[in-house]
Amino acid sequence: MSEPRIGVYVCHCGTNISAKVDVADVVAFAEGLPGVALAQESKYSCSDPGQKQIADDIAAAGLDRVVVAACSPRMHEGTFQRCINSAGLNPYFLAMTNIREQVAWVHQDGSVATQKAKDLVAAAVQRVRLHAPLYPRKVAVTTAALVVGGGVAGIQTALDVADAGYQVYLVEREATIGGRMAQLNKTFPTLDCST
Amino acid sequence: MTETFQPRIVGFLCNWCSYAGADGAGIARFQYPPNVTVIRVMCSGRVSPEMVIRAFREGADGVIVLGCHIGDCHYISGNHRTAKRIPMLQNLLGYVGIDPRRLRLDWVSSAEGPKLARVVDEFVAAIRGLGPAGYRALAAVPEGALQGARQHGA
Amino acid sequence: MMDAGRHPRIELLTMSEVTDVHGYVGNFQATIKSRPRYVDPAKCTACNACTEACPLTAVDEFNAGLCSRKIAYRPFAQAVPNVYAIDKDGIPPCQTACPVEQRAQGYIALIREGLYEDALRVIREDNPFPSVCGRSCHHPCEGRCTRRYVDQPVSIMALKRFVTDHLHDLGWQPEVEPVPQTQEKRVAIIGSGPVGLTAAQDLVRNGYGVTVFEALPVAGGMMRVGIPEHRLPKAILQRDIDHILAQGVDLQLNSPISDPVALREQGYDAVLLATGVSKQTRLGIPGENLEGYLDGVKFLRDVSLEQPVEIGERVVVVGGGITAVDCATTAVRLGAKDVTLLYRRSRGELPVYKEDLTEAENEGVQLRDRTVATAILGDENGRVRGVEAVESKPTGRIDQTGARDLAVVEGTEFTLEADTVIRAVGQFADLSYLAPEYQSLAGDKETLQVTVGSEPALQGIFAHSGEIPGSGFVVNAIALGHQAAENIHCYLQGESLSAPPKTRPPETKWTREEAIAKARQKGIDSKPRVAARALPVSERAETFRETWLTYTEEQARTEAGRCLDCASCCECLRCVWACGPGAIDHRMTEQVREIEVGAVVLATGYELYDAAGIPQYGHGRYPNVLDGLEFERMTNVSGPTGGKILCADGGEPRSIAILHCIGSRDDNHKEYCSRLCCMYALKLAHLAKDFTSAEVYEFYIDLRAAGKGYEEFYRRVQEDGVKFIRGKATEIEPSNGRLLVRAEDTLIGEKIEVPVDMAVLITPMQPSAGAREVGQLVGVSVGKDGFFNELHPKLAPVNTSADGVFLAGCAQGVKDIPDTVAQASAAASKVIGLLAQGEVEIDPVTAHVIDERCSGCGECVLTCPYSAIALADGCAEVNEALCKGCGTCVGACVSHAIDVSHFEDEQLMAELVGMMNRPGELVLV
Ligand SMILES: Cc1cc2nc3c(=O)[nH]c(=O)nc-3n(C[C@H](O)[C@H](O)[C@H](O)COP(=O)(O)OP(=O)(O)OC[C@H]3O[C@@H](n4cnc5c(N)ncnc54)[C@H](O)[C@@H]3O)c2cc1C
Ligand SMILES: Cc1cc2nc3c(=O)[nH]c(=O)nc-3n(C[C@H](O)[C@H](O)[C@H](O)COP(=O)(O)OP(=O)(O)OC[C@H]3O[C@@H](n4cnc5c(N)ncnc54)[C@H](O)[C@@H]3O)c2cc1C
Ligand code: SF4
Ligand code: SF4
Ligand code: FES
Repeated sequence: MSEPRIGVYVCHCGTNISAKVDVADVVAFAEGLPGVALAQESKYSCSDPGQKQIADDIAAAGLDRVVVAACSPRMHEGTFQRCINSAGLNPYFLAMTNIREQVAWVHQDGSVATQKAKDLVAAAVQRVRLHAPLYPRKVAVTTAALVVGGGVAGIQTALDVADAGYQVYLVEREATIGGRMAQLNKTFPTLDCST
Repeated sequence: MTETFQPRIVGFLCNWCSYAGADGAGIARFQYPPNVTVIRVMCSGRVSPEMVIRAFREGADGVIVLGCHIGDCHYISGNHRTAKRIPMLQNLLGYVGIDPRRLRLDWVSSAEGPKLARVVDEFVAAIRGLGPAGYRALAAVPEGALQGARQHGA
Repeated sequence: MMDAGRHPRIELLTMSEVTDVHGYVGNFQATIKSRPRYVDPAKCTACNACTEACPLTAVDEFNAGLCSRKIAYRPFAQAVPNVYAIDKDGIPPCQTACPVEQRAQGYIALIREGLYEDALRVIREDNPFPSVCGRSCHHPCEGRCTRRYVDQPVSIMALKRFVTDHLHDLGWQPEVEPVPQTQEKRVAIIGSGPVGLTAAQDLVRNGYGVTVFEALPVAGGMMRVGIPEHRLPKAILQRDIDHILAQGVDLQLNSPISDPVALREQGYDAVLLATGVSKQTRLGIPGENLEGYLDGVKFLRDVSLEQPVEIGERVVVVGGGITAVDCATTAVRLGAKDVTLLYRRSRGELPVYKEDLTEAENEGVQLRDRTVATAILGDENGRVRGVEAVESKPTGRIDQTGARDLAVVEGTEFTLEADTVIRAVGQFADLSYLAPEYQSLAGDKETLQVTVGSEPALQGIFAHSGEIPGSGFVVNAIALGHQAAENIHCYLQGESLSAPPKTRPPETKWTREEAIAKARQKGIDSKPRVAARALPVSERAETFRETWLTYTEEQARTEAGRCLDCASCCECLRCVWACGPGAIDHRMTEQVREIEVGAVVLATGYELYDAAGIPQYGHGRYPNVLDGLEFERMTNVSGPTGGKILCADGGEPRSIAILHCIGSRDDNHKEYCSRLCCMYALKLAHLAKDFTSAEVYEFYIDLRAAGKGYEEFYRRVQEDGVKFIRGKATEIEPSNGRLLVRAEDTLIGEKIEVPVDMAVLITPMQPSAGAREVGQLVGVSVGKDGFFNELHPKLAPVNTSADGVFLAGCAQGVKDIPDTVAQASAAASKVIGLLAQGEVEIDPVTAHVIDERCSGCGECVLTCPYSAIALADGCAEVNEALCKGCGTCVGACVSHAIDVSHFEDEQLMAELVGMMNRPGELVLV
């Protein structure tokens, strides 16, 4: 395996992260990790300029792997996958590590938080070295929907979906649809009749 | 102030409940000790006995596995396996020279930020009580020694 | 609602639940189970006739349980679909216990309501011999009656008899007309016992021409010539027979048949041998050819046919079944002075009803149980002079027939003097009438199952063969007659005889505790069984008047009132008869169906937290304490009070208290704020002001009126004159016929007590029961309050962590109608967006097998929650479309032969190495 060229981006998230984590220190640490071609601070890495910076670096510095140390991957993994993909990299060459929800926001002591951020960045760098490209497969969709529960919510959903031209199965436990609303007389705030 | 022992603990958290619960703890700003570094797995059922042993051999003083509550696993029954596998592994750890108390399994839902903080607190305190593990020097575990933790559908 | 019912692309599946979901985003397969409605939506015209006809009621959930509705019902006038439904809760045990599945709960309910003609009609639906079965049935139904747990079973048999007698006494004649013969084929039936006549009626109703050939000069078989007059008067039996004949059955008396095949040749397309079992088993002891030694069945037949019979003053009957007791009581009536019954086993084992035995003893019959006859003794003229007998005791073993083995007690031999000895120890089929070549039809003695003769010459000839336990009862014979008719019908229509067994709803089962609770709740717990009256013993000797008397009308209705209505719908069939278009079918069964969809929306809504769980407010104990939904229904013109707010005593309340946050924002109940309760509480206050002139109080902690137009609404209610008291009500106590609401007014800092006539508890909304289970089917979890978890509270409020599954309405969290509608449209747009794509990307994070390492142990196959792995040629193979990438299989594989992309073992180990080894010690992997 030829030595990878990894870009590491450590996010401030405004001050959400940088209030606890010494971002510059983490960047300096990352620069020394094996395979890291470049490490950068980023004010808001998920913002347009933040994403542009990553995309530009991929092109300019020939990065082939990216580590983003920022918020939870449950929040923005997709964002950065799309970002590196737009710059021509397979989205699975991204590793995200969470230094906000699971570091900056939960630990008082800055130096301890910074150390933990470094550990996590090191882990992500080691991991991303072994990433491989993956390609999603496409499968045809069955153009029908199942709605469980025939109250106002279910009825409205069913009507909207059916009006858009799709088949809907509306499954209701009781003998009639209508749910609780059918039991109401007048409804606030307008006091009109419900059914 | 005396220098307290700062254990290093590896946490294996499933993506859907426990990792989300840890995020939730962050969103609510519950503070907890920094000793656990987390490896995100899709399901707690992904955690193999080797992975746990390897964590100890890499210097972990403790390993904690967290998954969805039984019945809530994103993959229906993935955590049923975890629920069998980890206790069996605990029984076997002694044979390879690892204190079983250094491995903990618990369930944390995505809404249980406070529970996550409490579990981490407790486990860090427990490991601190046990002192440094020092399993880096532990000989590689022979193939097959962990078999028991996997049999019978675990 | 109407629109949804009419939309060409919306298929409504009501009374249905999702029981299973497979697949993945864009490609789900869901299993839907639909409970039977018992009304065909395609035929129902919503005319309400079934509701009017239905005699039974249930609690009306739609009206929050404030009133009742019929069992055949439509929830409310605008229901969609506009189709009625029937609430069936299984089949009552009395019905399942009965060989002919007599709808006992049905006729009992109709008797209770005084609808006697209908009661007889529903009885006749399954049983052509109501008069007989109302008297002489062995009534297994009563043995299973749920009421036995409370005290004694309902007197199901006596009630049946009551209807037949009562209608007869009123001179009521059912209208019966011959059924026109619509089928060309004709059937001959040999024997006019219950088997023959039942089959004849069924076949005639199916349009066949039927002739019954009977050897004797009378019809009815053993019902006529076996069961004696004092138990089943001949005139009464004749009522049932006449009813059958009136439908067009041709009966030929005095017509013994010896060659069934000849009947086939005479043009009958099928022949049924229904000749019964009439020959008596012999005892196999010395003296069985003496004069004065009689065959019980023949004895009874002779008495019935008014043939001369000779009996002496001292009679001994050997045997212990119904026949034996009948012989003994008949002998009493013929003038015998001293009648003894010898029975081998103990009294308790005697297979007759206790009442019948007691009455026989009252008449003077002496039972000697545990006694075996060893010889019939004769005098020098060859006449009976006595019986030699010995006492018996059980050996403690069980013999081959499953009965307790007996042994003789040595030294207990004795002699009984007698002029007449009658044996009545079991019967077998008398097939002596058949020509020898047909004996193969006979089967063996207790034979009542019907099959078609197998040899070609015997095609179309049906006879008993095989065994049915307990078949020696009239009602079993009737069941057999039905079965015979069905088999013959199938045969004549060229269909297979072994039709698949009919699926029926399960039996309704109540435990003892449930039965007692139900009786108490219906207020019928202390109603002992109404005892049937018996003819005084003095009037019985020497007459054949019936021993047991029928219930009076009052007794019958009291007895019918003891029924617990086990199965909600009693299958009285009134709805069926009332329904013009024939839409009702009580034999409908649960339907299971598979559908394929690309997306799923969970919209399972909410239910109200049960206020009875917070006892200090007295909901369920004090009738004028209501919950929000109950109060809502009162304000509805179609509601339980016709749109009037009324106290339980029918008067209008002078003051009403509305208590907020009962059970919400409360650590002991629901911690959360149920959000829109303040608003609906305000609405209820407004309605209270609108409908009554009552003083209205709102006890609140905070008023949360955050919504468009909500503050304005709040102000409007203030202007209505509603009194607002800031402070949570702590309890309600009854006082002088009113309700005392206690609270602390936090604005003035004082404890207060407000007397009111009515209190409305504003309880929180909670997720619908069963929602969590539905969520589990599609992989959506619930949060701590039980509502479904959205993927993200801000960024993805209608998505879930399961791709392709979305949330709408209160299933996700409490919300009002505007928010519900908005969220529903949001969910719809997500669905439309997904379906419009036409295809979905399958996440490439899936498992893959490293073939060289795979040992083919199959451990991963067992582990995978999605059955995504199969073994092919001794090697595991992953179906990527089904695999969701959880990696559980990886943890299970001993050979490290399976791994998951992007969460590869190596990658996770590298992560581990990276995090654990700080600079200086960092190693490369
Ligand atoms: C007393 C009271 C008064 C109210 N007044 C007002 C008012 O004036 N104005 C207002 O805006 N809101 C009012 N609301 C709120 C309103 O009732 C709800 O916002 C609305 O009914 C929510 O609709 P839904 O479809 O989410 O749930 P529901 O109406 O509860 O419908 C859910 C449906 O799903 C069905 N279901 C449940 N589980 C299953 C299952 N497993 N399988 C199949 N089907 C299932 C149920 O039978 C039901 O038909 C009031 C609420 C209460 C309690
Ligand atoms: C004394 C006695 C008391 C009983 N009491 C009760 C009771 O209280 N409750 C209860 O449930 N059951 C009772 N039973 C049993 C019950 O009567 C029988 O189980 C039932 O009648 C059997 O019906 P079947 O149609 O099979 O035969 P049967 O009733 O025996 O009818 C057969 C008919 O076929 C006719 N037949 C026979 N051969 C020919 C031929 N070759 N050609 C033309 N016709 C022929 C016979 O004359 C007879 O009429 C009693 C039986 C007896 C003997
Ligand atoms: S069978 Fe009788 S009880 Fe049942 S629904 Fe019909 S009318 Fe009502
Ligand atoms: S990762 Fe393995 S266990 Fe999980 S779904 Fe895929 S094949 Fe099944
Ligand atoms: S997804 Fe959380 S334990 Fe399986």
